[in-house]
Amino acid sequence: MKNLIPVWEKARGHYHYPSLKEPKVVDKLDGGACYDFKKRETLVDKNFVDETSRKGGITSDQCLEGILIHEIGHYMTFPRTLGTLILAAKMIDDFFDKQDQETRGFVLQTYADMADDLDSVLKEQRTNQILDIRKACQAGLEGDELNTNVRAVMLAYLHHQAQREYKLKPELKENFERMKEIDFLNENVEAMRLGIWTFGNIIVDMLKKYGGAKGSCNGFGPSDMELKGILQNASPEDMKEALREISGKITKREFDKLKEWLKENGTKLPQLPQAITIGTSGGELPVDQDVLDYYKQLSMNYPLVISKKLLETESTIRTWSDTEKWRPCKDPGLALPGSSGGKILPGITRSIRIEHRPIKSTDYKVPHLLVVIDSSGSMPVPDQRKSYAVLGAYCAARSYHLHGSSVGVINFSSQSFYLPYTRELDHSLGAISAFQGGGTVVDIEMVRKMLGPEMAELYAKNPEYSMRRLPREAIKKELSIGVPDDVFKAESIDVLMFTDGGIYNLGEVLSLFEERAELNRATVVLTHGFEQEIKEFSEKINVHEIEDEKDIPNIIIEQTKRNFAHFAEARG
Amino acid sequence: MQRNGRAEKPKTWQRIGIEELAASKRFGKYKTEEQKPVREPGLKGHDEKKVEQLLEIYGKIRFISYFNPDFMPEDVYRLMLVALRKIHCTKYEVAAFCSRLPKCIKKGDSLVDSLVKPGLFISALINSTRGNDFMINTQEIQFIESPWWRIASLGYKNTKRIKVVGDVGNDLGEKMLKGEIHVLGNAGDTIGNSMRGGKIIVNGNAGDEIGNLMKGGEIRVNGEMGEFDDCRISGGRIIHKGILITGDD
Repeated sequence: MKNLIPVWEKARGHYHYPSLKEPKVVDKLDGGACYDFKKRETLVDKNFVDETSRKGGITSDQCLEGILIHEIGHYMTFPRTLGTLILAAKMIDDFFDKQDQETRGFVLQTYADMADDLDSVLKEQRTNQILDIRKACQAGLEGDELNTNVRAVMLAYLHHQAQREYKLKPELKENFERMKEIDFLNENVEAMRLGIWTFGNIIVDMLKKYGGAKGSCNGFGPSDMELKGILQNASPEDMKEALREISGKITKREFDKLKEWLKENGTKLPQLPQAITIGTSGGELPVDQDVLDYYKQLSMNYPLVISKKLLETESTIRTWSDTEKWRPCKDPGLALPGSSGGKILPGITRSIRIEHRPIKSTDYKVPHLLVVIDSSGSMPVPDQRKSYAVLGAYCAARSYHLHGSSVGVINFSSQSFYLPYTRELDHSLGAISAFQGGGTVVDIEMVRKMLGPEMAELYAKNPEYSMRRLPREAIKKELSIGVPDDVFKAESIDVLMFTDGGIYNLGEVLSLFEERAELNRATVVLTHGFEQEIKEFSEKINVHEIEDEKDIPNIIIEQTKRNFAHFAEARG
Repeated sequence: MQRNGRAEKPKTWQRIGIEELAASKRFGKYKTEEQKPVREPGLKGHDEKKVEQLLEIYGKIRFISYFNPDFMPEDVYRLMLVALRKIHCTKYEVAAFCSRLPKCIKKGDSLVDSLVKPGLFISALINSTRGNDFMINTQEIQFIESPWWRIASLGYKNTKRIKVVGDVGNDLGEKMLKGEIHVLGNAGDTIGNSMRGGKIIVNGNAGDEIGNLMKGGEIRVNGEMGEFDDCRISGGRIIHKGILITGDD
């Protein structure tokens, strides 16, 4: 195939030159061509190209271009990511569990081909190439009734979308009408689920009617979607990426089932870190690493930009403090030759001693964060259902932590417990996702202490958070050591409260936040059908509602908008 | 060298030979693309207005109380059928309606408004819709006060083939006539209550009193099942983990 590279460049051009390896020509490949997701390369069978072009009455360049456009489409359009492939395969396994492995593979392969080709026929630049190669492949299927009919329905669908005429046998029209309902390119999980369900039923019904071998001659590439091989060869990093993508699309329970299914299929899932327990005011709290990892991965989809605040900071200045004997290793610029008769004499000449003195100054900094989270019975249980409150709190905690801030947590239900401000992110996240499932009362005293100098008392009960770097013996001797001073300054703390309402003492909580509004920026995030009226406090407290997880970034966007509005007002 | 009172530009200002620069050759293969149309896929049965209409009808229906002795699911079901008579939906619109349903369930809604109403409404919708295969995602439809309570009375008087993704609550396939309901998750109590025909398959676990007042049809449970007593079953078959526990072979 002498024109392989020019044709490859042309095919790549239709997709704006994705960075892919040049295709490899192989002597024999089941299916004729494929995009190998394991090695990330395109393989083409020379004999398949010759035979298809001969039978279909097209030139070998046309044939090759169509094949390459299709294969690049698998990389660019469907499945495009490992996550989409896993999701589609899992849906097919769920819906067609009565069918054999070969049938399920056939459904996955043909669905992926359809999604890929539909995208091409909708774009006029690629329409003819795909229709030509599909028609040529159809010519090579003589004698295989099942594949001829299935591909004929698929081809009729592609022609319909390309607004071109196509003659279909009357007996296949019913299947064609059913297929016209499927939106192959809709990435929404529910649309995809329904599309796969409808498409699979069409295939299964045709299979019952026509019988025959499924895998043979199914266009090009049964090995494109060779799922087991792809799953087993995927690295834990790839799998982590895929799971992160999937976690944003499906519910928590479905996600857990999907992970079990992946394990059954011999997939290497990323290892979870060792289980930890965290010391809170309520005692030792074991952290469910699975839940922690799930929300941590999910929170990476929604980074929050934190607006900085003018805070007192400690810095140093260089000052002339004293004089000392000048030595040859010292800066001659600091020497005072006047002290030795105009000559520089080591050991006799005096020089300036520079000292760094601490000073107080102000600078724009990201404050520390206090997360006050509701874990009452009306909130979704984080390990069973996706909790937007937990997810939002994770996003906020991660974003503050990235800026070098400490994160403290108050987890309230009938009883409250706190985690003192810490730089150990997993500890903070563990305290956020802990679920108590009782009534809804906020411990006002605890919030007050966490926001003021009284928090030193809280540290006294949990010395390990302030003396983390000291040897244990030193702690036993009750040596005192200062925690970072700025943690104790009330104005250096932002408060984020996540709740679904029904708080018994809501008025008290809001009054406290209002009272301290000059010191602490307080934001109340309402989730999961909040109903209590708190708008009257919203002048000094930011109130934000989360209806969907995609609303999470708005927590900060609204705050930033408000800041800009103040700034604009001040400027007049 | 003046023309029309303005000085003519000297020829030396012209930049000559720029196309020969080595750097520009590197991008030689990237040419301006020809503009060609991009089409939207032409799909059948995806009408957003119908989904809005369904949500509006759903919102108008209110129950008084499930525990009211006058409460008859049959009457409510008939009322729903009448309300849905003029709307001809497809399974896509049914699925779109189901995916938006969780947002209609508010805090403070009663148990019956949160669970029985959606179940009966979806059943009426499916039975009044043309087409045979339907898929429903019930994963997010739940009673907010007690999230472990799931959608009830799903598949009431069912005649179609339904695939349920997620869990369902009590009275699955109540008074079912024909067709098939395949639940991929767990189911609650009294599956196939007063069932007359068709087939119910539950992949997960099932609650108590399966097939209560059952007269025909088949129920298959692949997971665990709760307390079972066949004295109130007058026909049909129940199969648990592939073993026939009541009915004829």
